[in-house]
Amino acid sequence: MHSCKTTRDLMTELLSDGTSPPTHELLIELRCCRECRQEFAALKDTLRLATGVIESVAPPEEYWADYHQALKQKLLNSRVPVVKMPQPSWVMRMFQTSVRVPVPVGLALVLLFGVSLFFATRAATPKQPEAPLTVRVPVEVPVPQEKIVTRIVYRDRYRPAVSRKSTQNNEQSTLARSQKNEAIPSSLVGFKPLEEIKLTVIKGGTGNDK
Amino acid sequence: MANGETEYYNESDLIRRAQAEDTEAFCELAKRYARRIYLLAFHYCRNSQDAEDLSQEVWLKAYQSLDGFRSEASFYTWLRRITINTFLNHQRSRSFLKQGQTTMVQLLAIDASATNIASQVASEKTLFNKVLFENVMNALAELTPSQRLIFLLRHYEGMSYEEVANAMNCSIGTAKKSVWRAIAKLRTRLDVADDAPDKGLAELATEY
Repeated sequence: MHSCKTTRDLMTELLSDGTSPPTHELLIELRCCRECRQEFAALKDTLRLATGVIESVAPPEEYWADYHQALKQKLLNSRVPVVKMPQPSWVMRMFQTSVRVPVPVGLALVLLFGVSLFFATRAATPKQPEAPLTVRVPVEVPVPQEKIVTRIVYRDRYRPAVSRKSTQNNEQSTLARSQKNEAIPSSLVGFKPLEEIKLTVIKGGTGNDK
Repeated sequence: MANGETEYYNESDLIRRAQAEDTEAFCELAKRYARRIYLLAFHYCRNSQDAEDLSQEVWLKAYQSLDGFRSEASFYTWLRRITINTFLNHQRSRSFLKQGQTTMVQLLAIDASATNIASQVASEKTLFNKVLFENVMNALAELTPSQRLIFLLRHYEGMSYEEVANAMNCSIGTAKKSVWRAIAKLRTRLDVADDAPDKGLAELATEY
Protein backbone atom coordinates (compact mmCIF):
# COMPACT_ATOMS: atom_id res chain seq x y z
CA MET A 1 0.00 0.00 0.00
CA HIS A 2 1.54 3.25 -1.09
CA SER A 3 1.83 6.05 1.44
CA CYS A 4 3.11 9.41 0.25
CA LYS A 5 3.96 10.42 3.83
CA THR A 6 6.12 7.37 4.39
CA THR A 7 7.82 7.88 1.05
CA ARG A 8 8.46 11.51 1.92
CA ASP A 9 10.15 10.49 5.17
CA LEU A 10 12.33 8.05 3.24
CA MET A 11 13.22 10.78 0.73
CA THR A 12 14.14 13.25 3.45
CA GLU A 13 16.26 10.61 5.12
CA LEU A 14 18.02 9.84 1.87
CA LEU A 15 18.73 13.48 1.09
CA SER A 16 19.87 14.36 4.59
CA ASP A 17 22.11 11.33 4.77
CA GLY A 18 23.69 11.79 1.38
CA THR A 19 25.93 8.74 1.61
CA SER A 20 23.75 5.66 1.79
CA PRO A 21 22.01 4.52 -1.44
CA PRO A 22 18.21 4.73 -1.78
CA THR A 23 16.33 1.74 -0.49
CA HIS A 24 14.60 -0.62 -2.89
CA GLU A 25 11.31 0.33 -1.28
CA LEU A 26 11.88 4.02 -2.01
CA LEU A 27 12.77 3.38 -5.66
CA ILE A 28 9.58 1.38 -6.16
CA GLU A 29 7.48 4.08 -4.50
CA LEU A 30 9.06 6.77 -6.65
CA ARG A 31 8.41 4.80 -9.82
CA CYS A 32 4.77 4.21 -9.08
CA CYS A 33 3.79 7.63 -7.67
CA ARG A 34 4.16 10.79 -9.74
CA GLU A 35 3.49 13.07 -6.77
CA CYS A 36 6.28 11.45 -4.80
CA ARG A 37 8.61 11.89 -7.76
CA GLN A 38 7.72 15.57 -7.88
CA GLU A 39 8.26 15.91 -4.16
CA PHE A 40 11.61 14.20 -4.36
CA ALA A 41 12.75 16.46 -7.17
CA ALA A 42 11.53 19.52 -5.27
CA LEU A 43 13.40 18.44 -2.12
CA LYS A 44 16.59 17.99 -4.09
CA ASP A 45 16.22 21.44 -5.63
CA THR A 46 15.48 22.96 -2.25
CA LEU A 47 18.63 21.54 -0.79
CA ARG A 48 20.67 22.64 -3.80
CA LEU A 49 19.27 26.17 -3.67
CA ALA A 50 19.73 26.50 0.06
CA THR A 51 23.32 25.33 -0.06
CA GLY A 52 23.98 27.70 -2.95
CA VAL A 53 22.53 30.63 -1.04
CA ILE A 54 24.49 29.78 2.10
CA GLU A 55 27.74 29.62 0.15
CA SER A 56 27.05 32.72 -1.88
CA VAL A 57 26.81 35.10 1.05
CA ALA A 58 30.16 36.83 1.32
CA PRO A 59 31.34 40.30 2.14
CA PRO A 60 33.15 42.22 -0.66
CA GLU A 61 36.92 42.08 -1.09
CA GLU A 62 37.51 45.48 0.50
CA TYR A 63 35.87 44.22 3.69
CA TRP A 64 38.61 41.68 4.25
CA ALA A 65 41.44 44.21 4.36
CA ASP A 66 39.88 45.88 7.40
CA TYR A 67 38.98 42.53 8.85
CA HIS A 68 42.55 41.23 8.73
CA GLN A 69 43.95 44.52 9.96
CA ALA A 70 41.67 44.37 12.98
CA LEU A 71 42.56 40.75 13.56
CA LYS A 72 46.29 41.45 13.40
CA GLN A 73 45.88 44.22 15.94
CA LYS A 74 43.99 41.89 18.25
CA LEU A 75 46.66 39.23 17.92
CA LEU A 76 49.41 41.71 18.78
CA ASN A 77 47.45 42.98 21.75
CA SER A 78 46.84 39.47 22.97
CA ARG A 79 50.53 38.82 23.44
CA VAL A 80 51.23 38.83 27.13
CA PRO A 81 54.68 40.22 28.00
CA VAL A 82 56.72 37.51 29.62
CA VAL A 83 57.92 38.54 33.08
CA LYS A 84 60.90 36.56 34.25
CA MET A 85 60.37 35.27 37.71
CA PRO A 86 63.37 34.66 39.98
CA GLN A 87 64.46 31.06 39.91
CA PRO A 88 63.27 29.34 43.09
CA SER A 89 65.79 27.47 45.20
CA TRP A 90 65.89 23.66 45.13
CA VAL A 91 64.20 23.53 48.51
CA MET A 92 61.30 25.63 47.22
CA ARG A 93 61.17 23.60 44.03
CA MET A 94 60.98 20.44 46.06
CA PHE A 95 57.96 21.78 47.93
CA GLN A 96 56.34 23.15 44.82
CA THR A 97 56.83 20.08 42.69
CA SER A 98 53.68 18.15 42.12
CA VAL A 99 53.50 14.52 41.14
CA ARG A 100 50.57 13.07 39.28
CA VAL A 101 49.36 9.93 40.99
CA PRO A 102 46.50 7.76 39.75
CA VAL A 103 43.44 7.93 41.98
CA PRO A 104 43.53 4.24 43.10
CA VAL A 105 47.19 4.54 44.08
CA GLY A 106 46.46 7.78 45.90
CA LEU A 107 43.59 6.20 47.80
CA ALA A 108 45.74 3.20 48.71
CA LEU A 109 48.47 5.51 50.02
CA VAL A 110 45.98 7.50 52.09
CA LEU A 111 44.55 4.26 53.49
CA LEU A 112 48.02 2.96 54.30
CA PHE A 113 48.88 6.22 56.02
CA GLY A 114 45.68 6.08 58.03
CA VAL A 115 46.28 2.50 59.18
CA SER A 116 49.89 3.16 60.14
CA LEU A 117 48.81 6.29 62.02
CA PHE A 118 46.21 4.27 63.90
CA PHE A 119 48.72 1.63 64.96
CA ALA A 120 51.31 4.25 65.85
CA THR A 121 48.87 6.04 68.17
CA ARG A 122 47.88 2.74 69.72
CA ALA A 123 51.50 1.84 70.40
CA ALA A 124 52.17 5.24 71.96
CA THR A 125 49.40 5.00 74.62
CA PRO A 126 50.78 4.12 78.21
CA LYS A 127 50.32 0.57 79.26
CA GLN A 128 47.86 -0.23 82.05
CA PRO A 129 49.26 -2.10 85.18
CA GLU A 130 49.01 -5.73 84.53
CA ALA A 131 46.47 -7.75 86.44
CA PRO A 132 47.79 -10.65 88.63
CA LEU A 133 48.46 -13.63 86.54
CA THR A 134 45.96 -16.39 87.00
CA VAL A 135 47.13 -19.89 86.22
CA ARG A 136 44.64 -22.63 86.15
CA VAL A 137 46.02 -26.02 87.10
CA PRO A 138 43.69 -29.02 87.34
CA VAL A 139 43.95 -30.65 90.75
CA GLU A 140 42.63 -34.14 91.44
CA VAL A 141 40.71 -34.41 94.64
CA PRO A 142 40.45 -37.98 96.06
CA VAL A 143 36.87 -38.99 96.46
CA PRO A 144 36.21 -41.85 98.96
CA GLN A 145 34.71 -44.67 97.11
CA GLU A 146 31.87 -46.61 98.49
CA LYS A 147 33.00 -49.86 99.99
CA ILE A 148 30.79 -52.85 99.45
CA VAL A 149 30.81 -55.24 102.30
CA THR A 150 29.20 -58.60 101.96
CA ARG A 151 28.16 -60.16 105.19
CA ILE A 152 26.99 -63.66 105.67
CA VAL A 153 24.37 -64.08 108.36
CA TYR A 154 23.60 -67.45 109.66
CA ARG A 155 20.25 -67.95 111.21
CA ASP A 156 19.27 -70.67 113.50
CA ARG A 157 16.85 -72.77 111.64
CA TYR A 158 15.26 -74.29 114.65
CA ARG A 159 14.84 -71.14 116.60
CA PRO A 160 11.35 -70.86 117.95
CA ALA A 161 9.08 -68.70 115.98
CA VAL A 162 8.65 -65.29 117.38
CA SER A 163 5.97 -62.91 116.75
CA ARG A 164 6.08 -60.79 113.65
CA LYS A 165 6.53 -57.73 115.74
CA SER A 166 9.46 -59.01 117.64
CA THR A 167 10.97 -60.21 114.38
CA GLN A 168 10.61 -56.76 112.94
CA ASN A 169 12.22 -55.26 116.02
CA ASN A 170 14.94 -57.74 115.78
CA GLU A 171 15.51 -56.91 112.13
CA GLN A 172 15.56 -53.22 112.91
CA SER A 173 18.06 -53.78 115.67
CA THR A 174 20.12 -55.90 113.35
CA LEU A 175 20.00 -53.15 110.71
CA ALA A 176 20.91 -50.56 113.28
CA ARG A 177 23.71 -52.71 114.42
CA SER A 178 24.95 -53.25 110.94
CA GLN A 179 24.74 -49.54 110.23
CA LYS A 180 26.62 -48.93 113.42
CA ASN A 181 29.19 -51.45 112.36
CA GLU A 182 29.45 -49.83 108.96
CA ALA A 183 30.45 -46.62 110.59
CA ILE A 184 33.37 -48.45 112.08
CA PRO A 185 35.56 -49.90 109.40
CA SER A 186 35.29 -53.60 109.85
CA SER A 187 36.95 -56.53 108.37
CA LEU A 188 35.95 -60.14 107.90
CA VAL A 189 39.43 -61.35 108.47
CA GLY A 190 39.45 -63.88 111.25
CA PHE A 191 35.72 -64.35 111.13
CA LYS A 192 34.67 -67.89 111.83
CA PRO A 193 31.13 -69.09 111.69
CA LEU A 194 29.90 -70.60 114.96
CA GLU A 195 27.78 -73.32 113.55
CA GLU A 196 27.90 -75.34 110.47
CA ILE A 197 24.82 -76.67 108.81
CA LYS A 198 24.97 -79.93 107.20
CA LEU A 199 22.45 -80.52 104.54
CA THR A 200 21.68 -84.02 103.46
CA VAL A 201 19.43 -84.44 100.49
CA ILE A 202 17.70 -87.84 100.48
CA LYS A 203 16.54 -88.79 97.14
CA GLY A 204 12.87 -89.64 96.97
CA GLY A 205 12.09 -88.07 100.27
CA THR A 206 9.54 -85.44 101.00
CA GLY A 207 10.13 -81.83 101.74
CA ASN A 208 9.71 -82.55 105.55
CA ASP A 209 12.64 -84.92 105.62
CA LYS A 210 15.29 -82.23 105.52
CA MET B 1 52.47 41.57 3.39
CA ALA B 2 51.35 41.05 -0.17
CA ASN B 3 49.63 37.85 -1.11
CA GLY B 4 52.29 36.93 -3.60
CA GLU B 5 55.07 36.98 -1.01
CA THR B 6 53.52 34.32 1.15
CA GLU B 7 52.32 32.02 -1.58
CA TYR B 8 55.66 30.23 -1.34
CA TYR B 9 54.99 28.99 2.15
CA ASN B 10 53.01 25.87 2.57
CA GLU B 11 50.67 25.40 5.48
CA SER B 12 53.10 23.41 7.61
CA ASP B 13 55.73 26.13 7.36
CA LEU B 14 53.19 28.76 8.28
CA ILE B 15 52.00 26.74 11.27
CA ARG B 16 55.58 26.18 12.45
CA ARG B 17 56.33 29.88 12.16
CA ALA B 18 53.07 30.83 13.85
CA GLN B 19 53.91 28.47 16.70
CA ALA B 20 57.15 30.41 17.06
CA GLU B 21 54.97 33.50 17.64
CA ASP B 22 55.26 34.83 14.11
CA THR B 23 52.09 36.91 13.86
CA GLU B 24 52.54 37.49 10.12
CA ALA B 25 52.51 33.75 9.47
CA PHE B 26 49.41 33.32 11.54
CA CYS B 27 47.69 36.18 9.69
CA GLU B 28 48.50 34.39 6.46
CA LEU B 29 46.85 31.25 7.80
CA ALA B 30 43.87 33.34 8.80
CA LYS B 31 43.58 34.75 5.29
CA ARG B 32 43.28 31.26 3.88
CA TYR B 33 40.35 30.24 6.06
CA ALA B 34 38.79 33.52 7.18
CA ARG B 35 35.92 33.40 4.70
CA ARG B 36 34.80 29.92 5.68
CA ILE B 37 34.92 30.74 9.37
CA TYR B 38 33.17 34.04 8.82
CA LEU B 39 30.35 32.49 6.79
CA LEU B 40 29.83 29.78 9.34
CA ALA B 41 29.62 32.43 12.05
CA PHE B 42 27.34 34.58 9.90
CA HIS B 43 24.82 31.83 9.28
CA TYR B 44 25.04 30.76 12.86
CA CYS B 45 24.33 34.13 14.46
CA ARG B 46 22.56 35.78 11.44
CA ASN B 47 24.21 39.13 12.05
CA SER B 48 27.29 40.45 10.25
CA GLN B 49 28.66 42.38 13.24
CA ASP B 50 28.32 39.41 15.56
CA ALA B 51 29.76 37.18 12.85
CA GLU B 52 32.85 39.39 12.67
CA ASP B 53 33.31 39.42 16.43
CA LEU B 54 32.73 35.70 16.71
CA SER B 55 35.08 34.77 13.86
CA GLN B 56 37.82 37.01 15.20
CA GLU B 57 37.41 35.44 18.62
CA VAL B 58 37.92 32.08 16.96
CA TRP B 59 41.20 33.28 15.43
CA LEU B 60 42.34 34.72 18.70
CA LYS B 61 41.68 31.46 20.50
CA ALA B 62 43.42 29.54 17.75
CA TYR B 63 46.45 31.81 18.04
CA GLN B 64 46.61 31.39 21.80
CA SER B 65 46.32 27.62 21.66
CA LEU B 66 48.42 27.01 18.58
CA ASP B 67 51.11 25.32 20.67
CA GLY B 68 48.62 22.54 21.28
CA PHE B 69 48.25 21.79 17.60
CA ARG B 70 50.05 18.50 16.92
CA SER B 71 49.34 18.02 13.20
CA GLU B 72 47.36 14.86 13.97
CA ALA B 73 44.46 16.33 11.99
CA SER B 74 44.47 19.01 9.33
CA PHE B 75 44.78 22.60 10.45
CA TYR B 76 41.25 23.38 9.29
CA THR B 77 39.77 20.43 11.21
CA TRP B 78 41.50 21.70 14.34
CA LEU B 79 40.33 25.23 13.63
CA ARG B 80 36.78 24.08 13.02
CA ARG B 81 36.78 22.36 16.37
CA ILE B 82 37.74 25.66 18.03
CA THR B 83 35.06 27.41 15.99
CA ILE B 84 32.30 25.06 17.10
CA ASN B 85 33.39 25.29 20.74
CA THR B 86 33.44 29.07 20.54
CA PHE B 87 29.96 29.07 19.01
CA LEU B 88 28.61 26.77 21.67
CA ASN B 89 30.14 28.91 24.42
CA HIS B 90 28.51 31.96 22.89
CA GLN B 91 25.23 30.13 22.65
CA ARG B 92 25.27 29.85 26.43
CA SER B 93 26.40 33.36 27.19
CA ARG B 94 25.53 35.80 24.45
CA SER B 95 22.23 37.43 23.65
CA PHE B 96 22.59 37.76 19.89
CA LEU B 97 20.87 34.44 19.40
CA LYS B 98 17.74 35.79 21.00
CA GLN B 99 17.43 38.54 18.41
CA GLY B 100 14.66 38.40 15.88
CA GLN B 101 15.10 37.19 12.38
CA THR B 102 17.51 39.13 10.24
CA THR B 103 15.76 40.20 7.14
CA MET B 104 17.33 40.58 3.74
CA VAL B 105 17.07 44.35 3.98
CA GLN B 106 18.94 44.38 7.29
CA LEU B 107 21.63 42.10 5.98
CA LEU B 108 22.18 44.16 2.89
CA ALA B 109 22.23 47.37 4.90
CA ILE B 110 24.82 45.96 7.30
CA ASP B 111 26.98 44.39 4.67
CA ALA B 112 26.62 47.29 2.24
CA SER B 113 25.26 45.19 -0.58
CA ALA B 114 27.97 42.69 0.04
CA THR B 115 26.36 39.53 -1.13
CA ASN B 116 27.49 37.97 -4.32
CA ILE B 117 23.90 37.21 -5.17
CA ALA B 118 23.04 40.85 -5.57
CA SER B 119 26.10 41.77 -7.56
CA GLN B 120 26.54 38.82 -9.88
CA VAL B 121 23.14 38.14 -11.32
CA ALA B 122 21.19 40.04 -13.89
CA SER B 123 18.63 42.57 -12.79
CA GLU B 124 15.55 40.49 -13.65
CA LYS B 125 16.82 37.71 -11.50
CA THR B 126 17.81 39.93 -8.64
CA LEU B 127 14.38 40.11 -7.08
CA PHE B 128 13.94 36.36 -7.29
CA ASN B 129 17.31 35.82 -5.68
CA LYS B 130 16.56 38.30 -2.93
CA VAL B 131 13.34 36.51 -2.13
CA LEU B 132 15.10 33.19 -2.29
CA PHE B 133 17.85 34.43 0.00
CA GLU B 134 15.37 35.81 2.46
CA ASN B 135 13.39 32.60 2.47
CA VAL B 136 16.48 30.50 3.10
CA MET B 137 17.59 32.79 5.90
CA ASN B 138 14.14 32.79 7.44
CA ALA B 139 13.89 29.03 7.21
CA LEU B 140 17.25 28.71 8.96
CA ALA B 141 16.18 31.31 11.51
CA GLU B 142 13.25 29.12 12.49
CA LEU B 143 15.67 26.45 13.69
CA THR B 144 17.32 26.49 17.07
CA PRO B 145 20.98 27.61 17.06
CA SER B 146 22.12 24.03 17.58
CA GLN B 147 19.94 22.66 14.78
CA ARG B 148 21.15 25.42 12.48
CA LEU B 149 24.76 24.73 13.32
CA ILE B 150 24.28 21.01 12.73
CA PHE B 151 22.69 21.68 9.33
CA LEU B 152 25.54 24.02 8.39
CA LEU B 153 28.17 21.54 9.49
CA ARG B 154 26.50 18.79 7.47
CA HIS B 155 25.61 20.67 4.28
CA TYR B 156 28.02 23.60 4.24
CA GLU B 157 31.06 22.00 5.84
CA GLY B 158 30.36 18.54 4.45
CA MET B 159 31.01 16.77 7.72
CA SER B 160 29.68 13.26 8.28
CA TYR B 161 26.97 12.67 10.87
CA GLU B 162 29.48 10.98 13.13
CA GLU B 163 31.81 13.98 12.97
CA VAL B 164 28.92 16.36 13.58
CA ALA B 165 27.73 14.32 16.55
CA ASN B 166 31.24 14.27 18.03
CA ALA B 167 31.72 17.98 17.49
CA MET B 168 28.32 18.92 18.91
CA ASN B 169 28.50 16.36 21.70
CA CYS B 170 25.16 14.82 20.75
CA SER B 171 23.95 11.54 19.31
CA ILE B 172 23.97 10.74 15.60
CA GLY B 173 20.19 10.47 15.77
CA THR B 174 19.91 14.01 17.11
CA ALA B 175 22.16 15.28 14.35
CA LYS B 176 20.08 13.53 11.70
CA LYS B 177 16.85 14.84 13.17
CA SER B 178 18.18 18.39 13.11
CA VAL B 179 19.07 18.08 9.44
CA TRP B 180 15.67 16.57 8.58
CA ARG B 181 13.97 19.42 10.38
CA ALA B 182 16.04 21.98 8.51
CA ILE B 183 15.25 20.39 5.16
CA ALA B 184 11.56 20.28 5.98
CA LYS B 185 11.57 23.97 6.95
CA LEU B 186 13.44 24.90 3.82
CA ARG B 187 11.03 22.86 1.72
CA THR B 188 8.04 24.66 3.22
CA ARG B 189 9.61 28.09 2.94
CA LEU B 190 11.03 27.80 -0.54
CA ASP B 191 8.10 25.84 -1.98
CA VAL B 192 10.10 24.73 -4.97
CA ALA B 193 8.03 23.07 -7.70
CA ASP B 194 9.82 20.81 -10.13
CA ASP B 195 8.40 20.57 -13.60
CA ALA B 196 10.48 17.58 -14.59
CA PRO B 197 10.16 15.10 -11.75
CA ASP B 198 11.24 12.15 -13.89
CA LYS B 199 14.61 13.80 -14.29
CA GLY B 200 15.14 13.53 -10.57
CA LEU B 201 14.47 9.80 -10.66
CA ALA B 202 16.87 9.36 -13.54
CA GLU B 203 19.50 11.33 -11.59
CA LEU B 204 18.91 9.12 -8.60
CA ALA B 205 19.38 6.03 -10.71
CA THR B 206 22.69 7.30 -12.08
CA GLU B 207 23.96 8.66 -8.76
CA TYR B 208 23.77 5.36 -6.90
